[in-house]
Amino acid sequence: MTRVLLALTTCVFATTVTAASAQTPRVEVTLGGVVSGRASAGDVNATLVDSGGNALTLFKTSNRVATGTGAEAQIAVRIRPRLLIELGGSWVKANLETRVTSDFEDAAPMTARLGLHQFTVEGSLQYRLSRRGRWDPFVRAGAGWLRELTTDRTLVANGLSANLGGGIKYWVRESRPGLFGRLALRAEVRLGARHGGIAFGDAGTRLAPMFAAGLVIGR
Amino acid sequence: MSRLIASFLLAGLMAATPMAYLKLGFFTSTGLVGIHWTQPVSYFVTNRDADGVTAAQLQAAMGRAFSTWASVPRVAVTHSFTGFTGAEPFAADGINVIGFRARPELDRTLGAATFEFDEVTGQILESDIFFNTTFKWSVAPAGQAERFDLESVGLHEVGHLLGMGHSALGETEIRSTGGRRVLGKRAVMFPIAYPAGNIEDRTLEADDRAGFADIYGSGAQTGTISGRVTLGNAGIFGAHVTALHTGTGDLVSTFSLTAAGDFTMAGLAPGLYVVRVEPLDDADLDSFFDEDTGVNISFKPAFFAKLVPVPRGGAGPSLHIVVNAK
Repeated sequence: MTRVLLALTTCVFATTVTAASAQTPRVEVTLGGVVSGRASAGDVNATLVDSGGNALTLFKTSNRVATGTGAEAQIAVRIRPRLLIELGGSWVKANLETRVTSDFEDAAPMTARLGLHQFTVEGSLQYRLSRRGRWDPFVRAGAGWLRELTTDRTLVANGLSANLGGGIKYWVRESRPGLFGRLALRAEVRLGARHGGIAFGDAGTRLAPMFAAGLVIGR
Repeated sequence: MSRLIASFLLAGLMAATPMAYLKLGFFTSTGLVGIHWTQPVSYFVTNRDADGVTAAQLQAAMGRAFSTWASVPRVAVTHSFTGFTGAEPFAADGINVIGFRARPELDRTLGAATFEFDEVTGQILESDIFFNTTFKWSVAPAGQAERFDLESVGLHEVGHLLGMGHSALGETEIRSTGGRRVLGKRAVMFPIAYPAGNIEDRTLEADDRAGFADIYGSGAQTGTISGRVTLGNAGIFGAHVTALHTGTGDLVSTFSLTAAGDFTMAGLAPGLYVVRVEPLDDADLDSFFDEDTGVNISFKPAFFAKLVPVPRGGAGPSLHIVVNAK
């Protein structure tokens, strides 16, 4: 009896894997939108030096990259049954914000802003977790190149970008013929890291939560 | 060659050019010209000792001061000590002389610089510096109580000799005994010194480096902020404009120098800046301007509403900073 159950279990597992592999496209193209959350860029104070060598604060600043929105696209190629290698690009428009307070001569507090474009090109690995029907969860991690420029195109700087997160795909269509025969909706949350780019604040690396959603076309 | 001799007692500054920063300059029929050296700066040091400082120690301190200025990145200024001399500083003798003088009538002047320069090209032909022996001096490495640090004041005066004007990057308070006390400053070229015993001014600040780079740098590696300050519809002359680099915390400042309130701040490290404007009320106005030029100090400090980008080798957008009356 024990042997029969073991054999049956093995058989069911093998069947599931085979079915999942058969349903997973070899290539996935994702187009969607992305929301990048607020990222602190650190505090920098304007200080004078008194006769004792101590700092005398002229005013204080707190810097951040505000919540931004944008678009992204990825192409993923399956290299193992559960593993995909992905190349993606994104664009996010956000505001650089500096909150100014505690002026030595009581100038009114204010927030200075400037628009920012962030472009990334990243390579990632996507690992598919156990699929449940049409629900296809995954985790993803990657890194790549960052380019930031102010919206007035005055400042341009390059840096590094990285991401770590996970999400889920819901396969709306899986076996119809034609270009859109395999379609899924994809939602993902991740932690984005930006290092370098335009010098802003004293934080060497800016971390921001990100949410992305898109349409997946499978082939 | 037309020559003009100008004297700058510690706080002295002739008409500053509105072209950029706080470099010394003058008006000509064709515009504004900043004064500057076009050849290596060779200087003599007087062969007289002062209380607590020998001529050799004075020469060594001045050598360090020149070297500090020459160490500003991406500027091309060379200097050399020619020798000791019996000549007096402040004599129009065709040589640059640095030395001590007794000027008891200048009871608030630690030192001063004079210039002779070409009125057309702005080329400096001669410049002298004296240190007032009315005060006690020190060259002690860690400073000395009750004595002013010769290298610190020397760095300020050598800045003048090289064409630098005064910075207003500091806060002061009026002393009950007269004069002003420094609460804090961030520029060697601020016109009021730290108290005796202090050696903070042996090191240049970002404001000093920006001004020097503006005069002697190519501008290829630095950027510029320009704009105007207005109150109502009228420009403000003499508004003190300060920029904070949001990445490094460096502070650089300038003045608005036209009736329309125009200002230009050059020699800036590329990056994003917060710009603040305040009245010029932390030092005597004659520390910055030769005569009554209508400096307006009747407005409230304020910040520009946007972050200001400064590119390498270029300028960001022109700013219009509107302030309110006090």
